[in-house]
Amino acid sequence: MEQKFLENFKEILEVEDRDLTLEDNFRDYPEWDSLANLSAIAMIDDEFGVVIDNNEFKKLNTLGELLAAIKSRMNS
Amino acid sequence: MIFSSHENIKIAGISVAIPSQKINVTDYYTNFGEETVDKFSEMAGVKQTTRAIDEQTASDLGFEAAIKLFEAKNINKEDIGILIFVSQKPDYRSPSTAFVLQKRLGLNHDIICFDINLACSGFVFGLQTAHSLLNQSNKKFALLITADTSYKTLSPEDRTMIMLFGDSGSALLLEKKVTENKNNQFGLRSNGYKFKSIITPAGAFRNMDLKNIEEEWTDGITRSDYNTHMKGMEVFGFSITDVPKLIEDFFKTSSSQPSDYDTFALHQANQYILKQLSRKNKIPYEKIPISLDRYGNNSSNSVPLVLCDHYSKNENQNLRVFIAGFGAGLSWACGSIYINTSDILPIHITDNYYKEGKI
Repeated sequence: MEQKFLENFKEILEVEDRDLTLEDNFRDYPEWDSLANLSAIAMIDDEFGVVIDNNEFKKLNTLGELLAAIKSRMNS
Repeated sequence: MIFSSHENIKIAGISVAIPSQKINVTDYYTNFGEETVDKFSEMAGVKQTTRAIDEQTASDLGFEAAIKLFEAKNINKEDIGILIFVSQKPDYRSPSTAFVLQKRLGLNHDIICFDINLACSGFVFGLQTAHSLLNQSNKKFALLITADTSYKTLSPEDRTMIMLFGDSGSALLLEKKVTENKNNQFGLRSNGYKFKSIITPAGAFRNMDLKNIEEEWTDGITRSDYNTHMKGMEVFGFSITDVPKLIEDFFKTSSSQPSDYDTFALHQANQYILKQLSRKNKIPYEKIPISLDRYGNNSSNSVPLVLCDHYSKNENQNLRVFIAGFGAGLSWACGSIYINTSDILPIHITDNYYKEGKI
């Protein structure tokens, strides 16, 4: 799941040429904008079947935090 | 979910008017950059929108649609007992624009006239209201007019909004008639706890002290409090969770399933959301006609616009249509309606406006 999540996020941040880690702050990437944010919500919905609430999303910064939020949503 | 089922009321005609001016998303290359525009266009599915001229109000577009409807249906106007105008862009602060339309359309005094302030869900809510009122009245017809010129409160810098919304108006005639088990049905929900999700803060009476000054907001976009602001992520989340849930509940309550419908005239929010509704509600994507590529998101008029765009050339074909609209409020609704394609008129293009309306 972690692998799939990181692979999909590479597309969103348009960094296909290198690997992402859970420590990466997605908000630091130049490609992170409102459209990338929409793509991320959509990708998470498509791949994992959950929608992260916008108020919660705003507080998340690293890919690890986001993945944890997805997992907790999937289990609830 | 509020569920209602209406017997012996028939949709007798539907018509749409659009302004002649067309804006291509590529026109925004210089403002927002080619990459941003192309990315937006690919995800939203919008290539072009229509835009009213400055003098043209939403009601002007609705009026022209109603005139075309009267020409086609040739009814006795005295039999119209209800006129509802759904819009977020009225002619005046008061009175309701429905009265202006009553005068312009030459309708008599024995009629109920008022406005409904709703956006993208407005067609479905307006249609449900018109059904309910007509059923309880001693008149034969109800006229529902929906129209919006969303662009007029958008900041030119609000890129996803400005490239997304198009202007149009629609008119729909409801008639009391024996319908033989073909009830039009509706499912409706509202969430005022999210009233700030899509909001135009100033221009009414809560924020009378706000000056019409453009400032940079926390999202980095320059707009004034007189502009409409949408919390994009919040509304997007709502559209891909609450809306499919309502549709699912409606299918259950109405004992229907996607295969029972000939077509799905859904609010043209953006292409991605339409794909999600298709996937989540098991609606074959090819049964969802698209108009947003050429007309954009038309607020309350998306549903009538997509019907007129796709079915006005078909003759005498009886359709069971699934409709849905969702947006500001938050407000979301869907329904099952019956209509014959001969009663769906072609899209009318007009730049006419009501010169006497200027005070």
